[in-house]
Amino acid sequence: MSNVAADTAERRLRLRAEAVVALATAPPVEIAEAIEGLNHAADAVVGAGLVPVEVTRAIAVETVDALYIRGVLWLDPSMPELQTGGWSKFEEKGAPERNRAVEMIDLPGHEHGADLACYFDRLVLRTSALVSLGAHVDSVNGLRSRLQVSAEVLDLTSADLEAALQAFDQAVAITTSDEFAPEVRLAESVPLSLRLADVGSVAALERWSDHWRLTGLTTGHPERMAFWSATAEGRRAAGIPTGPGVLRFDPALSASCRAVTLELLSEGRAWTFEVQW
Amino acid sequence: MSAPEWWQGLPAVAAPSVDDHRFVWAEGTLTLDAHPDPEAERTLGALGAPRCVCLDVLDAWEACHDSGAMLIAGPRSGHDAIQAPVALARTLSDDLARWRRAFRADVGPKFAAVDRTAARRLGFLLLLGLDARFLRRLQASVAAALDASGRHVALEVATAARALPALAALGWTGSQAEIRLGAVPSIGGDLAILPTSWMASVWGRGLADAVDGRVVVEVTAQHPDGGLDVLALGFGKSELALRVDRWETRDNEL
Repeated sequence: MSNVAADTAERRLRLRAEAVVALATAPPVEIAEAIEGLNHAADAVVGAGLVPVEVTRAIAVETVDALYIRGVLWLDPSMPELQTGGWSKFEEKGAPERNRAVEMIDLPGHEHGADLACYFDRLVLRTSALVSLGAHVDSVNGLRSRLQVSAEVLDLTSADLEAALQAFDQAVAITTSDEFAPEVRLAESVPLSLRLADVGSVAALERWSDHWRLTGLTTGHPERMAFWSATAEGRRAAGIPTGPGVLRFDPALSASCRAVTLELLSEGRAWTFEVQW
Repeated sequence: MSAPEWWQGLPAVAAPSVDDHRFVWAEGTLTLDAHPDPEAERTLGALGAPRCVCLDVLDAWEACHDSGAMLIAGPRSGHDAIQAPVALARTLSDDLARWRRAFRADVGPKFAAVDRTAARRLGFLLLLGLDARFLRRLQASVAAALDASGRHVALEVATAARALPALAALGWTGSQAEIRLGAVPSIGGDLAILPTSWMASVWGRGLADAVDGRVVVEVTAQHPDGGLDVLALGFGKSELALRVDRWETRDNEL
């Protein structure tokens, strides 16, 4: 990635932060939307490998500080890391202890740098998948706005954005026309116990009647932005977190399926894992 | 005469810290009058000795020079009224004390990283509690450091945020995105270019609007009696070189 692209992305993010600070006297809902837009833009420039996450995090924290000292006191700029109840020694020493009970199999995977196209592709896949799960109208609008913010901060062409919005709107149309919701049942549970390079581990794959899911999924930095996606039986799908350690993929896998390709994109790095059972 | 250091002509300022300690800014540098050898105290602190919060402020201040922090939160002018985050700093200080009590036996790397980040954040919030004149000097210092290290992205956006009011007062209708840094200053219809030193040497002295109908873009020299030679540009006007004898008196309302 060129320095020019990285500088342009950081500059756009900083200009957006300035615009948020300028809203200090605006109604709370407007401020909240602007902060959300800033976070989306930060995710985009980090996800595309343009700006280090430490820089975007500092910009986000300082923007909230800036609003707070200008009288936006409903914001909470405290440090969650200091909550002694939530973050515990178990967290520090937990992973090896948790893994001791089950023999883990190493799955090295393939790592490569992410880029702008890679990030936007995963974002489109993910937003469409979220909509397919029946998101609320506010959430649908938020997801659409996220696509637009990301396209703007990443300097994508209007054609790229149009194509993404078209795919998104199609997903919305399909979801809203769905009148039949059949009963959902678990068809098969496949124990995997895989250690995914140095990024985390997964306990099992479950095949359900209308989707499939990974369970017992851990990542080294659960608080960080991570886009999971998978290719199975020739179809790509985004993984949507539906609970602690659970990622849902649509549609269902056939009973004969014995392999999926998992992809992870996090903070400018991308991995591919070939999972077989 | 050559261009003076960005801080020349700015009087020293002081502000109270904890107990009877004081922060002192003079000639571009922040010092702690109760801690003449902060490095030695840092070493003792790392070995477990009690550490004064003044050192957290100094750490935060030094970190700002690398990260450009404070340029987003800091006030743009005296009209940009900010409130010292006293309650927030107290909450964070209490959280940090609880955290240290809970994990005092743990010296693992994760503990150390969170502890360092929290202490620096506390120091940063205390910095933001200083008065407007002090904060202007601190921001100018950060801007000078970014300029010296070539980190112009953060500097450019921070400069734009501070230059826009002065440019708008001339009738210039561009946005922050249309204010860039460059070697040859100019104010055109849809683009304004300011020197990379502008924020430290012009805005830092409160000189931006010192010349009626123009924006000061550069300080070129300092006279033995303290007066400054400046270059000022107007929207659609020719460049003006003149001497200025008073500053830090207008947009920050001292």
